Amino acid sequence: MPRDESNHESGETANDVDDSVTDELFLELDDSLVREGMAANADEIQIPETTGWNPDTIETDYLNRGSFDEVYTELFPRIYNHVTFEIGRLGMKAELAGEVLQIASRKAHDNWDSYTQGTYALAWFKKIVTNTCFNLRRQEWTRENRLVTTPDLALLLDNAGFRTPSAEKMAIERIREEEIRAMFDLLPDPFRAATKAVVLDGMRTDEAAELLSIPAATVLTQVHRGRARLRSMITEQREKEREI
Amino acid sequence: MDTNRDCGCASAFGRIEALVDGHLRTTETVDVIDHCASCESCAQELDIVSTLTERVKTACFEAPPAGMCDEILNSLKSNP
Repeated sequence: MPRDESNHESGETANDVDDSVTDELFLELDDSLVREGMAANADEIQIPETTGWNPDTIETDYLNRGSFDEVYTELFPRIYNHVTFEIGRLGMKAELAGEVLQIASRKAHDNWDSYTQGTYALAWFKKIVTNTCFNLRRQEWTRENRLVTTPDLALLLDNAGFRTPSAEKMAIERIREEEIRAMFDLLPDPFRAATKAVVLDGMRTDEAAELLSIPAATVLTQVHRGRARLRSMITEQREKEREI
Repeated sequence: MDTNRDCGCASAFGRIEALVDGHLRTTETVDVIDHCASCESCAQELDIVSTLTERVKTACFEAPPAGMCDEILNSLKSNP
């Protein structure tokens, strides 16, 4: 399974990071500094009123040199990854990935010259993708014509009030993605299968139970144990690193 | 916050994973969220479980379909 190294958890908001400072920090290629969620509003991007330019010939001069096509192609797997992440986070239908990509790619393509030279192109693309997802989500709410008495789950979890510092959380945030994948592969088969079905594939408990031919209660137990095992492995690794 | 709604630690803590996995109804979600707003330990558990879940999802993400990148680039050029 191809994978990338992006990190979606920043915990920072637009108010936390000054733009001028952020641009400098992006030069260090640290994905954790990419602002996410409501804080990552692509409307912040300045779009010029005049368009006397050709996106295909404009080159960046620092991290992602080349035309739009070259940079986009290089970053595409990670852009796609961000689309699927945001769609999952916002509870949108998975089949919207193509539509999100089309809209976001069009916006990025048509505004390529507003990408600030010398900054991190992936962050710029991510902002546009996130903004596109939020706009589509809002449109869905409007179409559903229902009162949103409680914000969507993903938006609730974005609430800074629920982002509390803890040693375990820091360990989870800092661990490398290849390490997470290795730990996931180390889970005992029943835990891994249930966790994959529920967490990665987004199945309901009854769907996972039918797929795995086990009772729904067992699915819940195995997912819980899978998570607990991952947390335990991450904590153990943190302790080992401290000893070194 | 309406403290009368507080479902208590035992109830909230046991439903945090279900909440993060999107398996709770709206009313149950409100119960858990309201409790976490006033309970640091449950809020921390919610934060840890959601962070872990997001990181696992990201680390094990699905690769884009073959040819999708080229298709989008071609569509951008054919429909300027």
